[in-house]
Amino acid sequence: MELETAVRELAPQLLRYSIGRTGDAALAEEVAQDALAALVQRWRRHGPPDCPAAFAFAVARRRAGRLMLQRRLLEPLHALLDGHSPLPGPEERATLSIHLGRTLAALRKLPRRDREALLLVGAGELGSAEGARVLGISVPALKMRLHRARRRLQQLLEARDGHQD
Amino acid sequence: MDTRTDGGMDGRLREALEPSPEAVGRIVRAALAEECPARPRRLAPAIAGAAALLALAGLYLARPQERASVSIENVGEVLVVQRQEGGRVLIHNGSAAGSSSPSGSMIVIHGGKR
Repeated sequence: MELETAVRELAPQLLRYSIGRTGDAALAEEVAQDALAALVQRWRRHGPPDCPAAFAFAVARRRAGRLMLQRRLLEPLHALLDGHSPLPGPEERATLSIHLGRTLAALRKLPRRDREALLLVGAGELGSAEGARVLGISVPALKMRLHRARRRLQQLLEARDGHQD
Repeated sequence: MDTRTDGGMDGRLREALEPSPEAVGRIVRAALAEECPARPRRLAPAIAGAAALLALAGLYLARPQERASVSIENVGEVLVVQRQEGGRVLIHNGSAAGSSSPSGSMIVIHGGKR
């Protein structure tokens, strides 16, 4: 596989994962771009990794975790200094599509581990073996988390849809 | 939950989280424009340290050498003490001359201010 092809294929997958993980389009773009840049550097220096997708998602996962933590830590400071919180405000949240907003809200209600598995495999289209590798768990354990996450997400979305009707 | 339902749920999730084509294009362009940084960057601190040590060693070796203010040479039974600025002192071995044994001490100051 060529580097450019891999980057083009992975870009939308990484963005979907990052949007689901951060809930913020700008932050998601930063995470996905960093992951792809790391993949490009690795590829040009040492050749392609065993699994480019697993490599890029592992970087995106770490980067997203760090950025979210940094954001949470800095939020009170930003609010104190200039009254602006780095978390999406009401206006930014309003610009999100209703569909996306509902999905993100439902995703946030899932247990963290189940949500991570679903975002990697469901949204990021990572294979079970690669997803298990990124999370450092066995494939059966990943499948169990996926099963729980899908079932719970469906319940949450259906309940919300019913509530909207 | 069967595979079809799994696929449906995943499809719904992907549809909701689908990024804009502009965002995809932006990150692809930015990632591919990423330049490979020069590899020796990691060695730069070590190289700088070695260069500093070499410079120090060079300065140490190139420092002005202090010369002895006198030289002492033994010629047969006579000690020749020669001053740097000229002039010399001969010290004769007293027993060879049949007189009393030589006594006393000699202090040679190496360098120092005169």
